[in-house]
Amino acid sequence: MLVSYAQNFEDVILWRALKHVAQGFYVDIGAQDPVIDSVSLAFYEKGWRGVHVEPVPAYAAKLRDARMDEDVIEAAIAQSQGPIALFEIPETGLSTGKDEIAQLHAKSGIASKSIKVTALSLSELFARYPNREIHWLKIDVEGMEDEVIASWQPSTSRPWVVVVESTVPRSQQPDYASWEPTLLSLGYEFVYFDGLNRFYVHRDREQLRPAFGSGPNSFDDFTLSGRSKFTRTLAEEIAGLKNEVGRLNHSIVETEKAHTAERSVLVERVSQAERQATLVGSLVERVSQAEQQATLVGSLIERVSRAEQQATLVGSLVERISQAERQVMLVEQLSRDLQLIQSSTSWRLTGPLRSFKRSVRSVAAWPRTITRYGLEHALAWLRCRPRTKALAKSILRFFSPFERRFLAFSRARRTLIVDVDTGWTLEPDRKILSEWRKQLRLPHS
Amino acid sequence: MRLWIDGQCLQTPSRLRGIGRYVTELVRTIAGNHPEVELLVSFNASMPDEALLARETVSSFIDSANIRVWHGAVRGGEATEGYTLERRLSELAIAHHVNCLAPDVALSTSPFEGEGNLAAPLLPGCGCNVPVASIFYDAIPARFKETYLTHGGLSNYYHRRLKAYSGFADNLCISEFSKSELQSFHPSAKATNISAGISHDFIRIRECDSGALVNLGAFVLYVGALDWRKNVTAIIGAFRLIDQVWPENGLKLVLAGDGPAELLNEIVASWKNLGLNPARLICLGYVSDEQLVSLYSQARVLVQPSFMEGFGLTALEAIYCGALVVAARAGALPEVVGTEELLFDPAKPQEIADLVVRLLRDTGRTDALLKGLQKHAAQFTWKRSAAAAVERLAFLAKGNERIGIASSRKRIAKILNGSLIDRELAVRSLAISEPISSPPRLLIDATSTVRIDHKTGIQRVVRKICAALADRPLGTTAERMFIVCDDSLGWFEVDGRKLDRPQKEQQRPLTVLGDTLLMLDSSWEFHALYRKDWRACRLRGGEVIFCLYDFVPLRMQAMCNPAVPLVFSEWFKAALVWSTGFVCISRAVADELLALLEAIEFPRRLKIGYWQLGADFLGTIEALPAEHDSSPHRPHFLMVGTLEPRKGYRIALDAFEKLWAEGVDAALTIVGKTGWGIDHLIERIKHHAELGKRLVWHESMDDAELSRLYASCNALIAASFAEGFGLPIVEAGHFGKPVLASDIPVFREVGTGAAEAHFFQVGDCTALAKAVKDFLKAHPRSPTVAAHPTWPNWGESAAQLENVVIGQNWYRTYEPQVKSPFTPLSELGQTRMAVPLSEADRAHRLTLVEGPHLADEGANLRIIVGVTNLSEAVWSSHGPVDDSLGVALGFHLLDSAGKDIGLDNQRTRIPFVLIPGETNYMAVTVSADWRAQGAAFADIELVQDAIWFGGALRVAL
Repeated sequence: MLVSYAQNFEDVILWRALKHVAQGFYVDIGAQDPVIDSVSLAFYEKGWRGVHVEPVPAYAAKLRDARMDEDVIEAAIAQSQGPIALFEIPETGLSTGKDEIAQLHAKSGIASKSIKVTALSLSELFARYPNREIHWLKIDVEGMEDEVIASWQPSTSRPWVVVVESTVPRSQQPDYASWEPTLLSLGYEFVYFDGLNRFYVHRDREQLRPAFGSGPNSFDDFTLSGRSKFTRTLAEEIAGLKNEVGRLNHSIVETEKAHTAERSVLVERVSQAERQATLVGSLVERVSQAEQQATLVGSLIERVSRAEQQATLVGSLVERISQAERQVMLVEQLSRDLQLIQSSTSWRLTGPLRSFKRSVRSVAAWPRTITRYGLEHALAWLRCRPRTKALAKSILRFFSPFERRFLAFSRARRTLIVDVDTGWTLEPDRKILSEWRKQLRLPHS
Repeated sequence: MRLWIDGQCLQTPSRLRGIGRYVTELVRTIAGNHPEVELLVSFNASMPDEALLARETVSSFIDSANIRVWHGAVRGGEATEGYTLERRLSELAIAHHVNCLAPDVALSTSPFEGEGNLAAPLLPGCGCNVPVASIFYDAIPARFKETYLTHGGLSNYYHRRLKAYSGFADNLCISEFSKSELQSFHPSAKATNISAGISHDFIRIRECDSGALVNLGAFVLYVGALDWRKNVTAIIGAFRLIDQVWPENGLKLVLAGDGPAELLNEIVASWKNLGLNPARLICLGYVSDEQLVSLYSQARVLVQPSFMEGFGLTALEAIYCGALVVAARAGALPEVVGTEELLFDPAKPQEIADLVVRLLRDTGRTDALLKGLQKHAAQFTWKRSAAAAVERLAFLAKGNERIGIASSRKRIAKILNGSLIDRELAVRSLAISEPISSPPRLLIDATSTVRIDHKTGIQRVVRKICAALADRPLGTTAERMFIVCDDSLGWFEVDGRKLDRPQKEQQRPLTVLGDTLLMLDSSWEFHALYRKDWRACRLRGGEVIFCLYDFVPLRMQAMCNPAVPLVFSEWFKAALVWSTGFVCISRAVADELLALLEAIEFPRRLKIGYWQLGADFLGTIEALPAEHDSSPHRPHFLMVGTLEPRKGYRIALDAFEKLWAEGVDAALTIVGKTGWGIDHLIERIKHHAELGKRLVWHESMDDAELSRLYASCNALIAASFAEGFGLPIVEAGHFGKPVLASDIPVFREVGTGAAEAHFFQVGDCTALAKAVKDFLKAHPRSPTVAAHPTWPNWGESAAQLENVVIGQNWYRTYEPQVKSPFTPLSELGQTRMAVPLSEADRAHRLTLVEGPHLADEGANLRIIVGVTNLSEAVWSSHGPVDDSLGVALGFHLLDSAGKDIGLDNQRTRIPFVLIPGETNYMAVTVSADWRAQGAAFADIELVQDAIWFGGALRVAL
């Protein structure tokens, strides 16, 4: 598989013919850039080594950098020795030694500047490599082809394949009449024109002829390097993608930086929060301690208030005592008065009258006592019989004046229900309670 | 000789001071050394909680039947109210009480009680027929009137009581000084010195002598209170003088003893004002007896500079522990110290300084002095004091004629009639004060069952036990009654065989006296109503015994109706306060109760017993013989019981689905009605593919059908998470069927009644599936095991219950590790959180048990989580005052991205406590709205107040 760097598939065609040669040797006149549009790079990559002739200093320097194990001759090929003028058109392959061509380029708006370069003849060049078989020779000198080929003689070197650019620079107009005869006379035969270059094979290398004739095709097993203009679309696309990738990388880096920053901030905050938490924990403890103190204070306050209550109680009791003392004095006064009255003569005289009145009153009160006794018992009887009680109530409703009196009577007689909550913690045994009621002559509850 | 003791000094604040300890030691020594003396003691029921605590204290040396109770009618202390009619009545009541008990001699242990509390001690001239002796301590208030008798009320009260001393038949004094004091007020009163000794506990601690206090260097010790009479400032003055004479003394002053902060601050201030180095003054506050022993033995000298002392117990204890004592020449201190050399005038700090310098700097005679002190102190023992007291009292007892109850009533009535005391009040107080002659009855509570019979397990037990007990002949019990109380009208008797509602209008409520009250039923919501009766029962020396069925509402609150745990925990707390014993329905429950009491360090003694429930519901139907079914018969398993989460039906269903998926051919029959909280399982069963084929569910069944099912099944499955008993296992045993049960202690216990029992990990459906498979491999056909009637029937069960409750045949008696007498009844030990938990105390494990399931008709999601306490601390949801610092189960809500959308939500509280090593099943309720709002996960985590424990359990909603 060959990677093609040449401008017009020259290396593909050459490789088709010469691939059987291992570590061949080439001569590239007007080599120019070691990568872009280079015919020799494909071969260099396959292990071939050769010679480059390039008068433009910039290109020569590039070639030396790129092909450190190859000879780079910074000179032009011309018949006469000695410096010649070269019209350099920087950064293009259009630099030429011919003035007319320079003028032609100038008309198209491409400026050139004149520099002086050394020159040597082609035979001198070939003489430097006497024992080497030159497998291909390329001549791309922008209009000085005839000079170059004219300087071939008297060398006997016969490269197997010669490739010569044969159109007027930057046009398709053929321009080989001036030098082709010379070449043919050297024993070469024309085999192929690729639209830009003419390919010649030496007659001693007849076996190479079949390789020429068709253009670069799928059987040549090559790929484009990507630097040529044929792959411009792809290259643009790739460049665009690379831009995109670069941009994305950049944004990733930025994001990562932002994240690390963020993370460190968060870590800081987390540790801060942890510190706060321990602080809170200790504060909670202190708060609970304070609360305990507070409850203690509360209980103390309670005790103080209770003591104050006792004090007011004592004060009120003192008052009650003095009141009671006053009452006692009053009572004493009254009893003295009563004694005086009772010891008076008038009282004693009216004695019998009073006792008579008393007896009359007690007799008159009998019905009352009897009724009361009867009613009390009736009430007690009714309380244990709810249905009869309900019936009695409904009957009584018809006698409203009696109803009111009866209800008042019953309410007054309601047995004292001593609530347990008022301090009794035990209930008495019923039998013993009734015994005691009898003993103290209290009515049976 | 029958000797009656007035126990009120053990109910008033005197119980923590010298008087209380003196009386306790005297009585205890008499009880220990004089078997010929029968001791009776009475407490005043108008101070009920103190009466119960005092009863606990004396019960170790006085027979329980001789601890009596009477009721005073006083509303307040005599110093504030004066000598009211109610107080007069109370004095008559206690006199009548003593008359009825008819001892040979009565001892009024502290006639000065009742200054600021409800005590009314026995005084002469109140109609008491028995000779009354008293104990006289000191007359310090009379000697220092300006300090102690500050107002008229106090003065009147004190002088009245002091005058009463002339009426006692004899007066036992605590020292010669005390005797001379009494005789200076009442020259004609009889007085005997019985002195005092060192308490038994102190001697015991001294002999064990383990703890040593941190080395304090050379120090002068003072032990006691800080009030004016104790004269602590004299020591401080003496220190300054010592420093002047002996600059390199290097002595410190150690003050031991509790006192109010103001007095302590005054002492510290006066120390500083004299220019003494504050580092030399060490105030220890309250010290325990062990620490006191160490202090005494390490002190260089003990100084007691009181202006007056009734006895001088501190000096005596110090001498016993080997400390030199220098004491004031005041009160009874010279008697105790014995050597004139070691006495000083308390008004002169110079003398203290001289003495201390002479003793400590010019050491030479200290050993001889100490020996002399100890020899002299050896005569003060309680044995000697008790002997002297008994001798004196026996002398008084001679020739005394006792009167009966009726004549005592007449006597008291006569006194009453001449006074203005309210008759209703008098009748009640006197009737209560008369001792009950009727023997104690066995009263059995059956309130819940009588009210509404839901036919729950508990109510079935109550019915059976009541019926069985009603049929039993009365053994040692006097009478057996079944009682019901559901409102403020009181307790009514019902027929034990029928248990139908009482006719309250036609019956009289009965009074709970000193009976054995067995709270058999689950009357949890009425506990507030019963408190008075429990208290009254215990005051009269009766027993209140609670029946504990299981701990499910406290341990598995998630599997109960939500209202139940709160009510149950309130009831349980009330039961812990008031009960004398618990009887449980299995040994496993009894062991759980013991573990709980130990973990919370419950401060009182509690009796714990258990009895086996009976199982003869199928007794009328004979166990059908195992039938050899010729047709190929699919093995089927039976599960019996109400469908609720606790019974583990979900586990069985999961296990059988696994088995059916594996191709095992087995059928599952479920017999039980729908319970609570089981909607999702009902749905599952109703829509199950196997329903009607290999899965059968009977909601109700009569006994005959059920016994046929038992007879035909291969084995019974019991997969409950927790149970109190496990009746189906016993029934299976009755039919000779093997049992596959979850491995909980109760089932292990009950499983002994089954023919064959296999156990699997509780809550694990894979384990159950494996157990079923293993069982089928071992028994391919229905096993023909003989019927295994080893379980008691209801008659035998009732006999066992009576044996525990009446026969006092308890399984264990729980005793607290640290005995602290007079801890209030409401103290239950460590049931509240006091501090935020440390890291180690938060160790726990959360496991997902069930859920989330829809509950409450789709309004909420319930997740049941098992919370295990792996720390050493007890957790509770109550804080010291309210719920702050309580531990609860909370949860956060997260959306599907893991972001918090609800940080704090409703928390689930622990019903009572969660003790170390125990697992509670708690439910977390998430409102279904949250799920609609996007909540995808709930992070369930324990929280204390605002501190989350970490280790959250993530549950997908």
